[in-house]
Amino acid sequence: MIESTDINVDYCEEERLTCVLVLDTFNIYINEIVSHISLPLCLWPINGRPLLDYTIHTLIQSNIQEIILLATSYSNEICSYIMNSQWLRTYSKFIKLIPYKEARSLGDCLRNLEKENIINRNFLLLYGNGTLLTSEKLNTLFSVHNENIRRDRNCIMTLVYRQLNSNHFEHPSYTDDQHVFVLRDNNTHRVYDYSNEYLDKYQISLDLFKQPNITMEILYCPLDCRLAICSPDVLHLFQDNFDFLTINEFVQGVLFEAKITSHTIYSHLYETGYFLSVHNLRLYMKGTFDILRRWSYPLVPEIISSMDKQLFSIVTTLVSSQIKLNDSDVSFYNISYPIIYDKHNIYKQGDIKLDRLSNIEQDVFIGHNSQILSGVYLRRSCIGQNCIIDKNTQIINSILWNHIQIGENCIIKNSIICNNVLIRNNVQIDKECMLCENVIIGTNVHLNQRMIIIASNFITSTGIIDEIEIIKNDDISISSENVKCSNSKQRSNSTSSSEKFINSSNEEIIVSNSDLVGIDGFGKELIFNFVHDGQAENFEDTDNDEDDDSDDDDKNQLNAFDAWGYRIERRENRGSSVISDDDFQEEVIRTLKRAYMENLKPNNIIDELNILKPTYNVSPTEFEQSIIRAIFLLPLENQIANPEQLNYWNTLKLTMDKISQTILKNYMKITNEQAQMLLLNEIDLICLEYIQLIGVYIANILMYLYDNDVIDEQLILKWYENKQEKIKNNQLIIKLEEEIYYDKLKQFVEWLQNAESDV
Amino acid sequence: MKEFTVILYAGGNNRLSTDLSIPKALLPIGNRPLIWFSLQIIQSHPSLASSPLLILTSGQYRQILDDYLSTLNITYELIVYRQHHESTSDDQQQIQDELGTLDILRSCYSRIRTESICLISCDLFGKVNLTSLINMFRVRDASLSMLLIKTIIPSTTGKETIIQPGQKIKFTTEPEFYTVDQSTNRVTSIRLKADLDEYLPLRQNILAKYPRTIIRTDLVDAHLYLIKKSCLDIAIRSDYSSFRKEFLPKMIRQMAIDQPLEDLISTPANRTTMIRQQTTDLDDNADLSRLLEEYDCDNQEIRGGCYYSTDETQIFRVKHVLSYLEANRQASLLILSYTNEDITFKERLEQIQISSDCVIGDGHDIGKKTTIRRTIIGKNCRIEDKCKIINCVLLDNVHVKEGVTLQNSIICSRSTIGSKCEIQNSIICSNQQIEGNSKLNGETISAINHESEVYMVYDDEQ
Repeated sequence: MIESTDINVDYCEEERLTCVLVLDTFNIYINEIVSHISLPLCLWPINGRPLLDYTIHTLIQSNIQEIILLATSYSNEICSYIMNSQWLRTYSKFIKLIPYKEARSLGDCLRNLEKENIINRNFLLLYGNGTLLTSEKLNTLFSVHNENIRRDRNCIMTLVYRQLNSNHFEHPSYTDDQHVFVLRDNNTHRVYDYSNEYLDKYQISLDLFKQPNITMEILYCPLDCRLAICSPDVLHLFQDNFDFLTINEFVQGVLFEAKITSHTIYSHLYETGYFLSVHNLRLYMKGTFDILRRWSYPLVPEIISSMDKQLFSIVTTLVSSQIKLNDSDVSFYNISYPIIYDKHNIYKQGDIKLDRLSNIEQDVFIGHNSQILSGVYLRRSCIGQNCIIDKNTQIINSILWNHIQIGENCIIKNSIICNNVLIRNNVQIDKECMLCENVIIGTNVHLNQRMIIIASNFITSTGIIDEIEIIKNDDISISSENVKCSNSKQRSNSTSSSEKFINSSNEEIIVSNSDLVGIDGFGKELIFNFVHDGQAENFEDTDNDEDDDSDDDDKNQLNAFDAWGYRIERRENRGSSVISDDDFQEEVIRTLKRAYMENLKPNNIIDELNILKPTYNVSPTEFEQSIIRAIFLLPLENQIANPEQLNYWNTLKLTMDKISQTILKNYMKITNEQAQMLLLNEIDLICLEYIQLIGVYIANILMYLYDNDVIDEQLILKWYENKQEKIKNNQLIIKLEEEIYYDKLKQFVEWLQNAESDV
Repeated sequence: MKEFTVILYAGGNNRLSTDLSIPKALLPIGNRPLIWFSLQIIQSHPSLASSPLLILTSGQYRQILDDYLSTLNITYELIVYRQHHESTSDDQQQIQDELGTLDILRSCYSRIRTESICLISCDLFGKVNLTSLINMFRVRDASLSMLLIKTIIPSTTGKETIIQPGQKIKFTTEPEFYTVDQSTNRVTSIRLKADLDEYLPLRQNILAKYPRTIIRTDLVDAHLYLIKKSCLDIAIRSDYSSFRKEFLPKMIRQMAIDQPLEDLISTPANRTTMIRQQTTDLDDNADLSRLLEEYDCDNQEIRGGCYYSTDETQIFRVKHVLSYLEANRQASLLILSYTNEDITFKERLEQIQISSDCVIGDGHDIGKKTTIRRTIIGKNCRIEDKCKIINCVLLDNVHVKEGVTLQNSIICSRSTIGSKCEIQNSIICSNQQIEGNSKLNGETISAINHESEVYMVYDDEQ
């Protein structure tokens, strides 16, 4: 323990080990949540102290002599944390904060770092929010990297992974955003292929095996430590290639891009040791509980806090005068209280009030000045400071920050509850909820969906909380106050996730959603605008606030993972990816359906269809085919839905009269022979497909189209002749059940010929 | 009741000499037939030695094989699989080759009564340590254990590199890609190069189960399998004809993704009968006992995966000229290790230099001033004066006339080498007469000029 402080003495330029921490997840979902808490993820408390503390602690234990923090939008908070933490006093020389508020990606941060020009040797890069919890000492990685460089001078980066056992998809440390496929040489650990795409099959070029004595090893979804040892060249490469935004892009760029192929990347796989890179909410919870369960030993609360004490005392003797000045700030997190470690992994910080009848089972942290009343059941949870937990409440697998009140008979599972939250009596929270600051959950509310509930930043917290504390049992008065502000913008199905709110920060009045949080509750669900981009394509809110979406779209590509680290399935990727005809077909049918329902003008529909065309990557022929199919199949859909209604022909006729014939005329001009043939062929196909439902009406359909000048009669005859010829040449075989269709067709054509001759 | 049934394939054709009456199994190596070495492998492990032994062969070799085997002190059962052996025309031969191993196995399948089966082909040469393989099979309750061996890189003896005798033939060994989980020795997929274009595909669902796998290309199949009968049942019922090339990769895939093996039985008719069988088994006790009587094992559940074991000692399959020569060189040591019998030539004859690593069969007649080194000579060979034979293999009844120099060559039975010939790196097929003063280098002399390009290619499908 003392050795770490010796760094001050044995300072040596040659061996100086540097670590760069990028303190941002660059996940827009997390940053959205963070904006409602005003505490960046790296400063969220884990068992009474900020997450970043654990990482810095590990780094100092690993004899890292220089820590560079790259802060983004929350530079101020991080700065004030650093200013107030004991680190600055003990290691002020070694911690450097570089704020770069405009950074939108890891690449931006590293490019900024390159400009600072302070890195000129190998460095550790922690890029997953900069918060890695680990029990291993990281300085050994430098020698691993140096060894790689010794063998291969082109090596510029060593990626670090931890092996997971075979059922790793269920492993709680694994979240979707860690999905990665790494192909490396079994002996040298050089990385040959790297992909974070989800594929059914991964392909390895056989050329790789042509090298002698090569054995390939596949690492599929190892635990990504978000840790890499980099040569200074990495920064230059980021500087030279502006399109590198993430490490994934960097690695793939180095491996596959022709202009920078001279470099190589290696990997290092830990088989033992505790590693967890906390970069989403699920991992945040996992990290909290792992520390409670002491898996990360020696990274456990009481050891760290006792070590702080030691450091603190050493430092105070050294620079006692300076410390006394800042003494008041030490309580940024009140981490100065001693932590007592009890059996069953129960940690008690400072003074707490525990009722004799409470049942604290195991893996529980209780912060200073918290009150646990009788009948409370706690398991694997972390209770912050100044919390009050009322009678007979159960808290399981949850994290409570500071200043939280929880009423009687509540059940809280798998949730994160931020500062100053009030939960009233009989509340049940079942599933991965996050309650942001100042939220109030009303009586008898049951939350059983994964959701994030926010209150606004604009209402000052203390006032309401105090008020509530006074009239805790008088629910009605509170509710009346809240109803006032919750009426204006309520919509009928407000809980459904499809609904869109404008960002709360743009709103002046806070809308409380009483369906969700109860009459006496306060708060609403946080719904991410950008999540539902896909639905915007359903023509529901095309005129909404889509203007600034182009930016979001880019970000979506980067962060297809939600705040919990789950992969977000993007249904449609605007134009960029290949969409099958079926999707387009459905889209056309949907458009037409809406047109029929709302009696839109044909011209408008045609416009809309034209807009659709470039959105989907379809050829003109496919486009027209889809429209024809949509027109003829839509009536069928209606008919199947209510069979006792009009028959197909009548329904078709209705739609034809109203809209479809105009559309057909627009796309299949009577003068354009090719388009006309397409139409006839397509009708033919549809009829054969639904022989009983549509095929029998072929005469009516053609007659109608002929009467309304949609199809030229000459072309019908020509088409029919072609068809007959094919039948003769046995290119087309008529099945038994199709005969009825051909009979009808024949009748119609004969009639047409006769009619012609009559004229 | 026995644990294993050993099935030994001894049906391969010998293409080294055009004399088709010698099956490959009886091809002499160190003057002992190839099958002797396979039998030694089987005998080396007690649980296989005591198991029933089925030797599969084709009709035309039955007698000759039987004659030989009866001289050995073993119990065996010879099974003849159907084959068109009357005609030796090329067309027919191809049909024979197309007859896959599973087809052959089907013919004798009813005779298998044990829970597990050991499949072995008779061209495996070397000291195989079966203990680890069998232990793994038992401990893991594996469905299949297979022996993989290191690819032999043509070794160099001292400074001189080994030159392949005979016409230069590129025998391309097809790379095989074994994806294995090294910590458990589990095989997760087998891919043959022939099935691939440019890429080796890896299925995500297999990767998901085995996150850390290694692709090995340095291994080849030794054609030695231990397999549960329940799995072989599936193979027999399926439509596949080759065990190694068709059934095995698919079986391993199914196991890796936890799909029932029954899916491999393609015809739906089979599947329905199978299901019916299963249900009746559950309902009807009498039926169950009948089933037990028949199989003496439970074939309902297929547990365990496919595992492999590698052997570091030099083991290889005798399937081409190089490996045949190599086997001959190692034969004396191997025979020594099995039987404590030193077969190297011990007699010292006047005016004849014979180095101690030679093996010379009975009935030899060696002339004076002859030098013989690193050479295997078969029975009843006659070598006249002033010959120099280095690094060669001579089969039975070869007559070498005086003043002949032979280097790195194979002379098949009943051939005669005319006087003062110089023959290097060549193969002389059986019943050939080489005229005096010929000089051959890197040639193949055979009766049929269009003799197939590949010599001694054994029926590779196992």
